[in-house]
Amino acid sequence: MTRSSRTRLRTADMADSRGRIARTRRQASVITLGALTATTLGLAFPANAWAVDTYRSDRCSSSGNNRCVMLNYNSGGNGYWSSSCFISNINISNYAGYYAGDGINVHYVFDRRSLLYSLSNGTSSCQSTSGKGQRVKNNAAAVGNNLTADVRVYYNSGYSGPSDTIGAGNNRNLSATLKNDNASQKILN
Amino acid sequence: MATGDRARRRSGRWAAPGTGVLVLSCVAFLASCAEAVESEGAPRGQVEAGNSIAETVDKTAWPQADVDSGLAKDLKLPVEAYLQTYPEQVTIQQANNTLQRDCMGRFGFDFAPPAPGSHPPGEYNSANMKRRYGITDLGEARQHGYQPPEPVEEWTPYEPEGEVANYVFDLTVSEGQSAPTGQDYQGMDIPEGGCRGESDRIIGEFGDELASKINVDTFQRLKQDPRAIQVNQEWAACMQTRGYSFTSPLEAIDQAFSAPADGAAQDEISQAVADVECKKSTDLVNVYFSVETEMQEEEIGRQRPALDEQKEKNDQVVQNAAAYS
Repeated sequence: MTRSSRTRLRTADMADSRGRIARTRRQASVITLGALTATTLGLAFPANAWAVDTYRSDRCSSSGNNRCVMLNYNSGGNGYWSSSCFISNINISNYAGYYAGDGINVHYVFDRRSLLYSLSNGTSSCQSTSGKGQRVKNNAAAVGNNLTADVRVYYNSGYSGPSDTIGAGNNRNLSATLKNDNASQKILN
Repeated sequence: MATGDRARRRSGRWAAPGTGVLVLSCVAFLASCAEAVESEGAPRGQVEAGNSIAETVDKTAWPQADVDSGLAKDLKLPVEAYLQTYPEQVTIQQANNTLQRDCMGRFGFDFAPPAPGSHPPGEYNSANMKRRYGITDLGEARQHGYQPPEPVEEWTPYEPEGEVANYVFDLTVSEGQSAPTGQDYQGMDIPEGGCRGESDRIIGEFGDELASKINVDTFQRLKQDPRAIQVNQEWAACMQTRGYSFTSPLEAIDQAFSAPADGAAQDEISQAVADVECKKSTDLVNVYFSVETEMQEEEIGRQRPALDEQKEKNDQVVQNAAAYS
């Protein structure tokens, strides 16, 4: 990595909230330089020779990740869900990720973590590498909602399309049978 | 970038305060029960057992049962009869809050979530009729582009405070940690599933998974239906004359949330206006709607006994919950 692109990543570090960019910095091996086309990752941004990809699996500000929505890569049942996850407690207009400015694309991916929730239909666990590194958008099979509010997973970006509503303390497979199609989410109360 | 994506930490905003709080534990059926709750930055207000939602929540901001404007005005899909509505959601949340507060109080914990109903979605239920096929309202397109007209506000749901409180609430254990206590605390057994498990058992659990499957299934099948494909081509041709290249409206709204955005930029608005006008001239919304209606009537017809049974159970749950309003 050249000096100037390293500097750009650091700028994004300061611009973002505590703790999270440190995780993406550890994934230095997947940060690439040069001509990144918007279509590879479903994000469009102004043509920028310094385009950089970073990856996040955590958009949850809750201390100890106590209160998050857990999206699991794999479906489950019989009281048990276990696969890599993406955790959050915010509205997300596009599960693909977002453009952080300065040519930096942030992509949401699943990751393994030492986290599990006891929910209405059983345990939703993130303690598995199954799906680790996979993109979250159109790739989640199940949801575990450990918030004290309901969450709605929409089948299209920008809170459009039909949705699955997962109540506070509930977990289940997403309704899609033909293909995974999770695109955005909103937290309701 | 859509504002919803910036996580802004609000530590302690809804957390139960440490000092200076007067909390009267309240048995749900006492109509005269009143509770004064003070928390950092939260609106101060009396929460009475009989009137809690009405006094602290702006119901005028709630979504209406019928789409009131645009190309989807007054359209209602058959499956909507079986999907949970927002008012039902609020009623159930309120009852759970009341019961959970009582249970947590038994163990010596404050539990004071704000009254539900102050963060409504734009839609009445998961069918999301007005935005189901992307944007459908010309007035909103002119003002907001593809962005939802209701403020997509950033807020953080209430959290119990402290390790043991979180554990007693619903057996939550922080990432990488172990349970802070055993099966009992303060000499009392922790209910199965914590206080949340207890309130679920008392109220019952609302379940519309069967209806949800139909809601999502017909939408996915719609995309492959020849009638939808045909009208998509007509819409795409219309968009082409306006200078836009998309194969379907769903692709267009997806793209609108993929690009970096500063509010609704003028080019997003122009595209959004073209999108809705082309939907109007091709009658796309009505075509999609009639295809899905046909599919849903067929699926509902096949599964009616199970759907009706689930609805009956759900109505009972809402009734149980309403007793705590």
